[in-house]
Amino acid sequence: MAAVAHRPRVKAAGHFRHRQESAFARWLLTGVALAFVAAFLLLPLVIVFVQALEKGVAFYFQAILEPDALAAVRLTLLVAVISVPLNTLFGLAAAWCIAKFEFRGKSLLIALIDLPFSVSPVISGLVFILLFGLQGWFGAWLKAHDVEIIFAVPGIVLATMFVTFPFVARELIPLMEEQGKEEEEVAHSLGANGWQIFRRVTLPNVKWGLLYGVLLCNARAMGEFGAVSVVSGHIRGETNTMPLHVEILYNEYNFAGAFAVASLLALLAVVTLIAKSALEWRDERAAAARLKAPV
Amino acid sequence: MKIEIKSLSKSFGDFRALHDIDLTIESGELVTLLGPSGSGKTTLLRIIGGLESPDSGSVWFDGHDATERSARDRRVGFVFQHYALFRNMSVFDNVAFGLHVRPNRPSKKEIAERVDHLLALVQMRGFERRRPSQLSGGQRQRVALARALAVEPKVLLLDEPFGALDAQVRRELRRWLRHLHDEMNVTGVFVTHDQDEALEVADRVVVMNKGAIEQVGVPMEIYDKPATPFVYQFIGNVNRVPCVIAGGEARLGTLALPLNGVDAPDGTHATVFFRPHDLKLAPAGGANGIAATVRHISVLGANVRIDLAADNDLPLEAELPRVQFDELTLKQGDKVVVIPNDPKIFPGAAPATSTP
Repeated sequence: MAAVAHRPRVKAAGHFRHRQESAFARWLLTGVALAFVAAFLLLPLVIVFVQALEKGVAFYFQAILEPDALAAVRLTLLVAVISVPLNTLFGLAAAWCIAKFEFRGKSLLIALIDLPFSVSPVISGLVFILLFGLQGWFGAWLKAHDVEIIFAVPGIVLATMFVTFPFVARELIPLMEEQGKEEEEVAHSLGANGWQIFRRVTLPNVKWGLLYGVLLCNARAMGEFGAVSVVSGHIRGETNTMPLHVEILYNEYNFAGAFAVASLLALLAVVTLIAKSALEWRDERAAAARLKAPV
Repeated sequence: MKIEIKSLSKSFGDFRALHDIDLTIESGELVTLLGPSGSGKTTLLRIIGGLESPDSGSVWFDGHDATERSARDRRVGFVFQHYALFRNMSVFDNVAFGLHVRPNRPSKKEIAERVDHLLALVQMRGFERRRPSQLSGGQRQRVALARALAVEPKVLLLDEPFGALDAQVRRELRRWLRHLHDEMNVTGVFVTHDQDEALEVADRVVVMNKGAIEQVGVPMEIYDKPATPFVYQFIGNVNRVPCVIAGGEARLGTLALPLNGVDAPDGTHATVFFRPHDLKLAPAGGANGIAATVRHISVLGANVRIDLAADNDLPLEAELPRVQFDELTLKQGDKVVVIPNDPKIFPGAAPATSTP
């Protein structure tokens, strides 16, 4: 499930209203857009649930509650629980230093943060094999010290973290840059220390953007396939995350089972979407309230 | 608190923001730093406040070297052009912020009393629970001022505080700030590029240009006795007429002006500066002066502005009281002689006009 990295910022609604297209053109454009959404987004989503429930509700729950499936759910949750908070921490730190300070190599850092977006997830996975695999740079050392990374949970966590690395930072950097650093400067001159400035001024100012970034990061962390597939080794009940488990079931022609597990992932997508819309709606209302306020 | 700035310099990359600045600000004084954008005034303010550190030189507070002191420990209050109110906090929390973050935080009751007192001072009582986004620009800036005053700063630093407000509110706040400052007994440094504002608000004005101080003085001195051509042009309107030095005098039309100690040898060029309201007009041929033609006459209430053209189409401007103008009975195309009352001669050709 690929997530979109940038939220369309709702500002000055009705800004384009002066460009009145003909009614026909408007209907045509709206129709085409809706048809695309239906064909490429809505239909697959419906099919996932239809297929999942094809053999009845009983089979559906049996497929979900089967031990290997449960293990996959557990592993996916574990990976998300580890990688999302760490990436949130990293994203906050990176956005803070990029938006609030000037230093050499800043643009390099921004480019590096984008790297996971521009590299195919398969390559990301391979990089970890090359580093920590048996034939890799640290492979021999790791084997000698009995540390398992590749084909084990640490490898999956690492690969997931790498792939979901930019989400929070990308969301926060433009927001923080837009807000500038005057509020922090004022707080500093009023006697606040670094932690007080962060907790009382910076964090509250970006909390919605942060939450949004975390949501996207979480969705991707749970849904990541490519990178995880390379490092996991596909050991049933041990190193299979939900997306990998879906693939295995599908390859075994267990379509209903595959779709049952897939429906859980799809459900996650829907929940994320609803949460995101709720956040945007709230944002919009706040913006409207600001507009209404006397200036 | 007395502030001393000693041979301060600061560069941003290749851009020299401040060059060898020396300045003393007396305790309780309100000083404005006046200059065009890029003159270094804001950088100087930020260095005084500890938000920027100088490349060389030092800042002294009451005789103690404060150059390395962090902004936290300087006891300065900042007010920015765009208010910089904490957008996620109410007006009350904004003003209370400096008290909340203190290591030995005052009691809730004390904070509430203090905030109430400050909001009364800035005439913002009753707005405690509003968000900054629900206030007008002038209201926001008054809250920002109350917030800065909450920590009882020794120095108040204002960076174009009224720059984003419309003219009416601006004039009101300016006067109000002047009163407030007189009551508070705090040292104030006020950055602006608006000459009227600088002259009205300040005890003393520091005119800055290209990272250096051009002149320091009380407002009247700055206006009446500009020390450099830059100050002359930046403060108020001015006529500039090129002239030649001959026989120890500046030759200007049929006038010969004494040099009064200006260092300009014979044969060099100089420029004569005089204010449009500080001159006399006479009919052509009647007196010694600069020959000119009347181009345009505009009546501005009690005064009349007359646009003139001297030789080589050099534009001149005269501003006369209505009574004087009526006696002259001038009309467009008339030939006149311009006689400056108190001209000032600066060696060298006239510098390019700067737009303040």
